[in-house]
Amino acid sequence: MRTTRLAALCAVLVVALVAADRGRFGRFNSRCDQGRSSRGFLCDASSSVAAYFEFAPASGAGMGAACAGTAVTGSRGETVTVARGSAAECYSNDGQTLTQIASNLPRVSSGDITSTWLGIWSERPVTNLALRSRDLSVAGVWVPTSMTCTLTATGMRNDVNGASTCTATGANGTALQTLTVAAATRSTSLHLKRRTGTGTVEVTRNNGTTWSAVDASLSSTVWRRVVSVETAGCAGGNCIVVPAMTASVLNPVIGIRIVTSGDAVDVDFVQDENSPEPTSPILTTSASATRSGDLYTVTTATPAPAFCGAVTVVTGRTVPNTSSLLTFQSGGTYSFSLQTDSLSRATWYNGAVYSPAVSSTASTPGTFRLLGSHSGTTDRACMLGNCVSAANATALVTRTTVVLCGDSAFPTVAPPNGVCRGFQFDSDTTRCTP
Amino acid sequence: MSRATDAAILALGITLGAVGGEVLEAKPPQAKERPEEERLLYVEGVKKYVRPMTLIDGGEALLLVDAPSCVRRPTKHADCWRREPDGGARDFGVLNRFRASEAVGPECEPVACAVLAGEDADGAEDDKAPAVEDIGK
Repeated sequence: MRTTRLAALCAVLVVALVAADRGRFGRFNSRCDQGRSSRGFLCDASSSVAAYFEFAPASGAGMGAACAGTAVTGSRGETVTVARGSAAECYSNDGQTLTQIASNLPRVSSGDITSTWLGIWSERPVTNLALRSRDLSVAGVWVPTSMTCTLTATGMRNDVNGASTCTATGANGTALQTLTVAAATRSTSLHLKRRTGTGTVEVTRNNGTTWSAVDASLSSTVWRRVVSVETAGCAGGNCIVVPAMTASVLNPVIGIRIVTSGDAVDVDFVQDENSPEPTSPILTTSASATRSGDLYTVTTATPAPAFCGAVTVVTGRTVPNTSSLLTFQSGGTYSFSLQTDSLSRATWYNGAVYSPAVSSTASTPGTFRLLGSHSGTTDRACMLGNCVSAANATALVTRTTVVLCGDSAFPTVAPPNGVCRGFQFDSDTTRCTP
Repeated sequence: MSRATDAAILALGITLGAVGGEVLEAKPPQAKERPEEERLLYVEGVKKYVRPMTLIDGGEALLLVDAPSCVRRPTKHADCWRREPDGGARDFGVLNRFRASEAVGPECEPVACAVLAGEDADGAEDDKAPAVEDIGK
C-alpha cells in the first residue's frame, strides 16, 4: 500500500493554494524616485528599483506586526498562502519572548536581534524529544543531583512561573534527562539566564562525558540560547555557541551542571531535535512534540522569458546547506529554484542541472542574500553581491506558483531553517537587488 | 488502499509535515524506523499509528502500524514504571511518555510517542487523534 509522492504533493497544493491570480507585468507604468513604480511598489532601502513582486520588504509592508499570527501579503497586497500542519513558536525580534502561532498562520519576525526587518520563518519538520521542556521540576523526567529545580521563573512567554529556576544545593549540581533514541545527528538547545552567583555553568548532551562551560556568555538580564551554531532567533548576540550540542549519540543524556553550590540559573525551552542545527523551540509537556514544516506560496504570472529573483536569509544552516529559497513551480514541477547547494553556494536549479555551478562566496551561518537571474540564454547567480554567469537556454514555464523560502516538492528538506526576507522577482533581470 | 484511506493518509502527511514520503504497511529492508516521532491517527475509524522511517537512499516514508511504541502511567497509583539501564524500575511521573520496551507493570497505557506541537499531550489519547478521514474527504 503506498501513496505516491506526486499524489501527496497534489494534496498539499490543494490544501495550500488559494488561487490568487493577481498582477501582470503590464501593470508597470511609471516609477517613483530611484525608478520605482508609482502603483504601490515600495521605495525600500533594500532596492534601488522596485521589482514586480516584493515580499517582506524593509518597510514591513504587508507583514503586519511581529509574531501577530495574522495573514501576510506581498507589498502590493498579493495573497501569500501559508501551510503548516501544527502550531509553532515565534521569536520576538529581540529574541526574548516566544509566542505560539496556530497552524497555517505565518511566523513573522526578524530572526536577528540587531534587526527589526520582518521576514517569514521557514523550517523543516522536526520533533523535540526533551519532555517537560519548560519545567525541570518534574521528577522522573528530569533527574536532579545536588540540585533543586522549581517552576518559579518568569519565562519566555512573559509568564510568571512559566520557566524553571535551578539552584545547586551542593558542588557540581546537575539536572539531567535521558532520551531514548538511536544514534543520529541531533541538536540540543536551551535558553539560560543567570539568577544567582558567578560560578561556572555547563551543559552536556552525553551524560557529562564532556561538559561545556557557558557561564562566560550568560546574562542576568536577557535570555541567551545555547546552540551548536549561530541561528535565527538568537543571531546577532544572544547565541551561546557550543558546537558539541550537535552530535550523534545513542540515548543522549542532556542537561546542565552548576559547579558552585548556591548558584542558580533560569532555564526555559529545552530542546533535543532531529536536525543538524537548532530550529525554533517546540514546547513539550508529557510527550515529544512535532512541529510541521512551513510552506509559503504565492500564485502569480510568470516573469518569463527573462526574470530575476532575490531573497535574504537568516539561518543556522551550515554545509551541507541545500535549501530552496525561491522556487518557481508549475503543477508541482519546479522550473527554476534559487538555492544554496551542498557547498553553500548560490545557484539556480532548473530540475536537471545547477546553473551557474558556483557562486563566488560560500555562506556560513548568519545572514546572506542570494540573487538569480535568467536572460533567456544566460543564468546568473549571486551571493552577497558576488556573481557568476553561465549559458542556459532553458525556458521558464508560462504559469507559475512561487514558493517562498522553500519548495513544496521537498517540504522536509528545502526550508532553510531560518528567516527569509527581502523577496523580489521581476521580468527585468536588472530589477532585483544583489 | 481505498480512495478514502488514500485521502486520509494524504491529510495525515500534511499534518505530520511529512508530505513527500510514501505510506507503507511493511518496513522496507534496512529502513530505519523513528518510533520517537510516531503519531496516532484513525484511518476510516480504525486506530493506527504512523512511524516515520529513513530509507536506505535517504528518503522518507511512513510505516503504518497497529500498536504504538510508547506508554505512560495514566494515574498516580497505576502500576507502571520505567526500567533503568541498571535494571531497576523507576517512577517516571504521571502521563510522561516513554518507550514501551522500557515499561514495567501491567497498567501502562499504550500511547503514541509524540504529539503535534500545540496539542494537549496530557489529554485522553483518543481525543487527540486526528480525524484524518474527515480531513481527507
